[in-house]
Amino acid sequence: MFHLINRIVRDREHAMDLTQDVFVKILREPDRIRDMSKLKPYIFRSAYNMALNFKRDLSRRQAKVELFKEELHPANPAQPDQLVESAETSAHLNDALDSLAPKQKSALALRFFGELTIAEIAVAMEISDGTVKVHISRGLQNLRKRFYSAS
Amino acid sequence: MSCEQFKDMLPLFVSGDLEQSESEQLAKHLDVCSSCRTEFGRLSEIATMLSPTDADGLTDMEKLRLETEIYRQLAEKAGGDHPPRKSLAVAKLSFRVAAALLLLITGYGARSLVLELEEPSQPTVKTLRYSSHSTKYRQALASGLRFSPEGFKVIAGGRSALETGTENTHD
Repeated sequence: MFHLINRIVRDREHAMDLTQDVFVKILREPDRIRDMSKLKPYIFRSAYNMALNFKRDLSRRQAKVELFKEELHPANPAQPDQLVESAETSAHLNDALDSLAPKQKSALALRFFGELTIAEIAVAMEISDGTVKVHISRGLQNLRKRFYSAS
Repeated sequence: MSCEQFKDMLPLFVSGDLEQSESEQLAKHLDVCSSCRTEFGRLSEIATMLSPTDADGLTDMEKLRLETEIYRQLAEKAGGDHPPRKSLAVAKLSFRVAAALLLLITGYGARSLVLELEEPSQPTVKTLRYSSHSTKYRQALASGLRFSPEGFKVIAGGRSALETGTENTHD
């Protein structure tokens, strides 16, 4: 679960805080867990949604901070080429992911970041196994097209 | 099967979700089709970038920190939100869900918690309360003391140094 949250928010400290928050949220609503066999998909869906909401809020806050920084220190400090390249690749991938249809993005995040099975994703997203496969398949194809056209 | 049909199968092949018989057919096709191999290479690269690496995981210290923080919040909830009789039932349910969750979050740590629950009425020798960020808190966990809503229970085999530690105070 930490993997999933960390890959979305990309900040370990925030990811740890969110992992705790997911946990506490579920404990506050134990009645929602009627079937313990569905616990894993349920908490991964909660984790995914909370991480997305957090990232959205964080992006808004960071945009304001960056504007402020830009005014104070317009020049960017030099960084090693390898770090820049790695950060750029990662940013391209994130941009490509963000451009996917929400269900394709959710299915890919749960499959790869969360390492859930097709059946678990189907429970989490409340869709059939076949539809999960369609979202993963199309999501990967679209991601491939967008990533390589961007880079 | 046509080349286009094989290409459509590639995403689920790289995600590991293709049926075995289809995977075998596709593998044979990849041996003879350079166009599909190129596509396979690109999709594999995407899949690799999406997959978690060791660096994405929690370190042992982070796991411990996360686990103790969750225990602490659980303890606060069990002790503060409900009247005494109800609180025991809620705490028991919460702890059971917590045990399952901890396995998902950190991969360990739930077993001792469940064992603790099975015998909630066992008398405790002494209760120590430490801040969850303190060294003594980590030492207490590492030394075999078990956490409960009341604090650390000093149990048989617990470290004597901790038994004589600062009682009911935060360091």
